[in-house]
Amino acid sequence: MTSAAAEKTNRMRSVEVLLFSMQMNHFGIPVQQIDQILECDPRAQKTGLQEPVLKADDVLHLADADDFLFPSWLKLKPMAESSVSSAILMIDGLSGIVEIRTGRIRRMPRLISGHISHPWIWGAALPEEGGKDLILLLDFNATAQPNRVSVK
Amino acid sequence: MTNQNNLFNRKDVIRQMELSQHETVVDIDETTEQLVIFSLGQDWFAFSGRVIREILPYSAVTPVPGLPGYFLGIINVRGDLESVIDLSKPLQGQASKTDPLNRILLTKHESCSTGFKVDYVHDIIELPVSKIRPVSNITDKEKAKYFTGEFEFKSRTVIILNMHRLLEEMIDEPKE
Repeated sequence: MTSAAAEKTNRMRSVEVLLFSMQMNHFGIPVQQIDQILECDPRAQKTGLQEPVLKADDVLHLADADDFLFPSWLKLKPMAESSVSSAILMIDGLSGIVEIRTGRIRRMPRLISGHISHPWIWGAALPEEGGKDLILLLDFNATAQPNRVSVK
Repeated sequence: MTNQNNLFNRKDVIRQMELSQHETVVDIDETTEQLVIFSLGQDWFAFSGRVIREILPYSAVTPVPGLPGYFLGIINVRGDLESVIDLSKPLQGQASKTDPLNRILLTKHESCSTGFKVDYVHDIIELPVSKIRPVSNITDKEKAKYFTGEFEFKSRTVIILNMHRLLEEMIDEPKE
C-alpha cells in the first residue's frame, strides 16, 4: 500500500473531534459540525451575529456552572433538524482537536441510551493506552430520542 | 475409678459429636440457589448468582449528563461500556458514599446488562431453597415489589432482590 493510500485508510478509520471539558467531563464534537471557534465572547464584541449563545451546561443538562473559567465559543454549523441549529455554544476548557480511531468508539449501553433526556450524547471513546478518561461523544445533528429498551 | 469416669465422659462426648454431625447432614438432592450477599449501609441483600456476570472493584465512573439520579454513569470494562446504577437510591432513597471496599456487581438479565454499585460484598453461598422464606418485616410497601424472599446468614436477615423488577422499574421511570 502506498503511503497516500495508507493515510486515506487511516483517515477512514478515525474521526476528528474537538475536545472540551465541562465540569470534570470530557466531551467531543465532530469537527464537521463546527463552523468556527470564536476567540472572544461574540456578545461583548457585537460581531453582528444573530445566533443565540447557549451555555453548554444547559444544553447538556449539567448542573449550572457558576463560572466558566476558560470560556470558548463554538459557532455550530446550521443543522436542519436540531434544536441547537446554528447556535453559538459557550464551553469551558477547550482542549484541542484530536483524531479518535473508530475502533475505540462505543455506543452508549442500551439501558443508558433509553434514559438520556436529550439525544446528543450518543457514545463514548475509550481512552488510548495509558489514558483513563472516557470521552463522551456529541452529535448536535441528532434529533430523535433513542428508543427505550424493555425487559421481557 | 476416676480414669473410668473419664473414659465414660469421653465416650459421651464422642457420641454427642456423632449425633450433632448427624443432625447437620444436608440432603444433597435438595435444590440450592447460588446467592451473592452484599450490604448497602446497615441492610444486607442478595442477588441470585445466575444474574451476576462479574464482581468488579469500584473504579471511577464517568457521569453522563441528563440521566435519572440513580444512574452513576458508565465504566469501561475491558473495552465495553457498562452503565452503573447506585442501588442505594432505589432501595434506600439516598446516594451511597464511595469507599475503597465498594464493588460493582455486573449483571445480565434478559437483554439488559448493567452494573450495580454496592457497599460491600460479603459472600457467595449455595443456599438450600427451603431456607428461603417470604419477607416478614416490610416497612416500606413500595419497595416490597423488589423483594423475593429472605434468609438468615451470620445472624442477619438477608433480603433477596428481584433483578427483573428492579430493571423494569428503572426502564419505565419517566425521564427527568
